[in-house]
Amino acid sequence: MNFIIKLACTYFLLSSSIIYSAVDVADSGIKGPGIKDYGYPIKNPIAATVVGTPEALRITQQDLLVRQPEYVNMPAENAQFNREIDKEYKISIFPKRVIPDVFWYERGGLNYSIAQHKVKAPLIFIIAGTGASYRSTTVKNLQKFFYQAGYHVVAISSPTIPNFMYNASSSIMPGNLLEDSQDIYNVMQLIIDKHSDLQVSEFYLTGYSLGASHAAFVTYLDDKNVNDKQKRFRFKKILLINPPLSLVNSVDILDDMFEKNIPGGIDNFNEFFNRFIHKASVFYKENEQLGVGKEFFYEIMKEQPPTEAEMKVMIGFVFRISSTGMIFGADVFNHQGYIVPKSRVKTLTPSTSLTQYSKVAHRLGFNDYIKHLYLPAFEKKTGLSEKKLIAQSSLESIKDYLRSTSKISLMHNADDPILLPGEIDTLLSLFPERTIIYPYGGHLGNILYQKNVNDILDYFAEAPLKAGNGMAFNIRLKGEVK
Amino acid sequence: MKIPASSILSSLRIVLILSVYIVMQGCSSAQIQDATLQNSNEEPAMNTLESLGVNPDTTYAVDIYDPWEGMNRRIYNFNAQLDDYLLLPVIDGYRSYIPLFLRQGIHNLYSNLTDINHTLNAALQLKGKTTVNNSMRFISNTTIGIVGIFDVATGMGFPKIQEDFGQVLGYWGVSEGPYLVLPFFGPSNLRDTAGLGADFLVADLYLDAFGLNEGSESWVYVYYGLMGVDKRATTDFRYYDSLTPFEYDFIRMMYTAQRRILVGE
Repeated sequence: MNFIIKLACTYFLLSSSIIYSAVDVADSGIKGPGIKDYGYPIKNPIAATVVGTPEALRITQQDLLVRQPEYVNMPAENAQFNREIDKEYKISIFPKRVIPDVFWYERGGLNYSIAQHKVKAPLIFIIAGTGASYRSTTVKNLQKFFYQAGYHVVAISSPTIPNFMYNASSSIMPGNLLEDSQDIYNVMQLIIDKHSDLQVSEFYLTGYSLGASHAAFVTYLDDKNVNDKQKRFRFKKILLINPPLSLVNSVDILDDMFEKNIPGGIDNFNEFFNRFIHKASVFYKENEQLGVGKEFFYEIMKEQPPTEAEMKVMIGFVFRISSTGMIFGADVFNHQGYIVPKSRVKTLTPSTSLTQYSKVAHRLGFNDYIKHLYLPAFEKKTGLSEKKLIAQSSLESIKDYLRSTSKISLMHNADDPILLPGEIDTLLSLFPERTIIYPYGGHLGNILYQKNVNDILDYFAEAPLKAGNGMAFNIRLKGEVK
Repeated sequence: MKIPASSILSSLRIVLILSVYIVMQGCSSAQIQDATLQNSNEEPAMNTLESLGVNPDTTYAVDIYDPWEGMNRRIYNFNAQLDDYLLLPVIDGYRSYIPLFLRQGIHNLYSNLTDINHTLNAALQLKGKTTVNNSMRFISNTTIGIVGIFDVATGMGFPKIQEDFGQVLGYWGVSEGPYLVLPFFGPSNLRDTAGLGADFLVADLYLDAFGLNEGSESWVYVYYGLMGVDKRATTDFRYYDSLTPFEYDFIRMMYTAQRRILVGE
């Protein structure tokens, strides 16, 4: 079953060390200290985003042994019977909220997980990226690394997923960085209150992708929380991993990836999808000894690597799955008749066919959600103009705070495809002397790469980042990377 | 003594025959439930496929022939709850109290027995290499691997290749038929359900032959119960964890796609 769910993404995601044999591995012309030493192999940012880090170059439990304090009890690594280090919990935040029948499975509270040590230790929160839950692969991996390095690790889902929307979002209309971060902040407070057995020495915070933007705003809120009505965390260090500069801009890029790369347009998605099935089917027939497992996808990727356009469709597709959830979820709760006729909302039951709504929702982009659901609702609610609200969706809206707050650092890739040209420079200017920027990696493709994980753990363990301290590629890369 | 497993299986046999019959009748004309059929006095949603200007001839990957969708969705939700209230707590305990080597051994034992199915099914699809591979697996694991407790075959270059009877039916031209969600087993279609039944019948035969069907009724429960626990414990899937409210549709699409790859449609 796992296999089935992952199939679509897997064709493009599972395979390791594959695409980079097929893509341009040549020196992309970047000159600068340290560039040559950065061994992440996939130089094409789209391929990097899709493929991630080849298995052999990922950090292992063995690599992290040197960081493992005595009190850490790591279960042995075993793919099939891996013991979990974390425990899953549910917390009820709006107990009186009525969750509609069609979302019956979201009743019971917000899901999160904690990997907890039995002794006093530093605690780190991880905030997941767009459309990702507390148990997504990236979160789980980071959780494992931090746990092994001695931290208690609390994993929190993105406010963009239905479980968070229905259980922890005050507006059930994600998109406002400040308000969503306030929701996350509340969740963090409640979790710490609930788990009184957690012995915490100090608090740390990280997040990736949109979760990194949230981490910046959560820190901002914690620092502004001067009246101390709620307990403050006083985070010691915060690391933002591959955040968008502007949510709205990145959303446009991702929408376009899906819409503009299917031959003949989005009407032809079915043909596009069937071509893949057919290709896989023929390949399977010709290579019967492969079965269909990891090996199968490894081979098909090597033998018939997808084109860059096909990979863009997959990135966009995964992203679109998140936006359809937001659209449907927000529409059903707020009764706006956006894709579900107003009079129909109440008639939706757990067994109602949603296929037709799914088709409509997949035709709408994240951008449509922002323009037609989020912005109108927030204009009404806050009285702010559309322009002002869009400006609020950028890290630049708190630039003075970010520039002067030395405990927040940035980790990014110069070729991250979710950024517009020039946005990386703006990001760098927000965190002067506090950035690790890698020449390659696409969007989070290198997050499991040995060096990246070591850099992340070093950052939290050591003194603040400084340019040229040997572990960072603190160089300006204006226009040098495609 | 002969135990009731066979009577369960003989009813499965009837289901199998019926299912194949229905599939053979052909279920090609897809008719999709339309949840948004408008009443004339109803205010339509702001966005519909028409209002978005979608070409009416467009076909959708998400459209799978599913005439029993209402029932299927109910069973899907039943499975989700079964998971939450029964299976996940059980496998949690299984993982906590049964040591790894024992769980691995149990898994290998079942896996070895199902290699008999996988061999037979490969042969029935005239897949020469796979048939040899799977029979070598069974032989080496049963002997060197001590009745299958250890999986030595994988290391010897005979990887696990699953071939089920649904694939056999597909190979010989049986169409997939309507989508079906089975209680406990999850996504399927009529053809694969028939295949599942056939695989159980075959299992019944070899269990008889090995004398594993002898014994008390409770033994049968233990045998199949533990098999289920092992299956669930080694399957990394959670209901409603795909982060989309359209999970049912998504799974239906992906299940069908995967089967089409395997069957070569």
